[in-house]
Amino acid sequence: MKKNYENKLMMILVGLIVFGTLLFGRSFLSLNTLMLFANQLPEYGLIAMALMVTLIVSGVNLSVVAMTTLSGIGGAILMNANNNIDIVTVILGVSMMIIIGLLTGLINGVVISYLEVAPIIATLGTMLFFQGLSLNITKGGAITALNAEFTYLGSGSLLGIPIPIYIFAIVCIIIYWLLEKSEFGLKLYRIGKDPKAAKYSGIDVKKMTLLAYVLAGFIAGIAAIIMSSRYNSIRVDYGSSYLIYGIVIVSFGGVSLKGGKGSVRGVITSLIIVSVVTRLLNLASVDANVIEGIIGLMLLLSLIIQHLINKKSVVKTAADNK
Amino acid sequence: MKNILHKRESYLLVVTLVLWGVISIMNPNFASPRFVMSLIGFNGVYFICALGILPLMIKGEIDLSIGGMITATNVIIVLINIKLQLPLILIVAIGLLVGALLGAVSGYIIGRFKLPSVIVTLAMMNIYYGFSKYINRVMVHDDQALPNYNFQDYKIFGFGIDILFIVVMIVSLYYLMHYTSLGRSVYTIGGNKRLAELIGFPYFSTTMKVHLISGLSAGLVAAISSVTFNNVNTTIHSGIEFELLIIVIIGGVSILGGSGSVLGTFLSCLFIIILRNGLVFVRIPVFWHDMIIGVIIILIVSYDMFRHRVNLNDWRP
Repeated sequence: MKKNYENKLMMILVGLIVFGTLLFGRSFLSLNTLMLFANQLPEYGLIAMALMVTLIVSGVNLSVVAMTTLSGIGGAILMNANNNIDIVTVILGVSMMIIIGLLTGLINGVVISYLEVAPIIATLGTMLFFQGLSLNITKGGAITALNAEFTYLGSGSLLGIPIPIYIFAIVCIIIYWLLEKSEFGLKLYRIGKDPKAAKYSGIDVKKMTLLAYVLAGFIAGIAAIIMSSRYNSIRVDYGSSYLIYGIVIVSFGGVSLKGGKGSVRGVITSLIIVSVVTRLLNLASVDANVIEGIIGLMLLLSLIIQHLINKKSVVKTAADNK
Repeated sequence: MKNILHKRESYLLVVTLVLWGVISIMNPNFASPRFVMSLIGFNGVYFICALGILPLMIKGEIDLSIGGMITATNVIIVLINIKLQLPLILIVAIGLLVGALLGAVSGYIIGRFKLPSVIVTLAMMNIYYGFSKYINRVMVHDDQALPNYNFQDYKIFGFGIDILFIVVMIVSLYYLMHYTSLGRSVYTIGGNKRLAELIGFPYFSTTMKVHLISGLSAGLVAAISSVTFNNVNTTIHSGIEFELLIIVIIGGVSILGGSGSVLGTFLSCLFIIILRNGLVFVRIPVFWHDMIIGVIIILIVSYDMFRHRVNLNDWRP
């Protein structure tokens, strides 16, 4: 059943690409489109992945973007403080971003699993907290002129493919392995499906939930690296629209907000579908705000269609059982 | 007596009064009740919308589309009013009608298909914001402003008309939640959905009604803001969803549903407004405000969970 939905998403994607090629020909199926995707996809994709990891253990993580900007700001400040030895500075900055990402994830995890605050409220609180902290550090301004070697991570390319794509691919493979091939992932899915049953089957629910949020923090740290190096600067309100967009992508990709459902493949497919739709509407010179509305409409329709399909299959299996 | 002391409403009241007192000592301008009343009037949006989403949150849902509904209604009012130049009372009526309609749309989708409200209202939010921003840019121009209503000059017992709307909202919500079958079914469904359905509380019509109330409050706010500002501002209400979520949760609503009260929501609204404005009055830099509020939410909710656990232990034989 789960794989079924992903195959449908794949079919929609192929259909969209064929449709776009027929309609726009060379202007759609071009290097230009690919480069555009290569620049946009990694950031949205990483935010969506971070959301997915926590949604699997049944918790919306509203603070993802705030975590990303906070870690970006921390790393950028460290890099600007000693801007003399290039490679060491880059390593310092990158590891600082990842460490702050992990720390923010840890804070979320502790509040949610040990203080037992409902995830949506806890992350709403930490979102405000992280945003406030970032504002306090930067006083609202941007941190610019980052290390030249560092910006190569966001804007350079290797063998004709932009580096963010490599980073995104590596992160996806790691998450895929962690979630769908390892015991850790199996436990997360079980907790998401039924925390009480998971607890009684001997899973340390609190520890696992904590680890899921730490993993989300790690991904947010990576997103911070790409974001800050691509713009060559970092500010509190960078990526303020990413959260809503990320939730749309994730839920279109078949991740259930009730937990226990979702896969890396589904999220990536839905990410590409949303980007292709946006690109097609752009080529048809549709207004940006209307595109926002159409994506909302798409999400709503997909929910209703999924519901109708599920209902049909439930009726069918009930009939089979008789 | 012990019961009263342990209620969320009583300690919110105490905390709010203490906060007001402390800020007033540090800055005497803050002390006058008249100033507090005008503060309430200016922030009428929060009072009206927080009360509007209260039934829905008690039922265990979340409405992220409220800012979108306000903006969409605002655009529709202005579009109608550019042509017709209606009197004030009709504008409020149109606002309520359009808001109720928009609320009914999400209510129908959530109730009929039994979908999670977070994600449906998220989609609705995208739809409302996207289309109303577009329509606003294409069809509304600055030179076609609304007639000037001098909305701030309407006074009732010396207070602005916003206060009247807030009072109406409080009284009607209190009546709805305590003396009607809708209130009972909202609390029961929020407490235990499956049980409520077995008893026979109507799920679909309750869902429709709570979303209708949220839509009505959005429509009211849209009408007020369109006559106050005489134009459309499509960004002024973005982000209000999360602020409302904070207010309602501090007011004692559990995110899982089943608990919450009108009085608690009102007090928590007052608390947040006094806190946000008071921080300005005692000259704490604006950079700290969000951090402070974030920490307060987590503290309050985790204290609740802690107390809940202690209570559970007491009950165990």
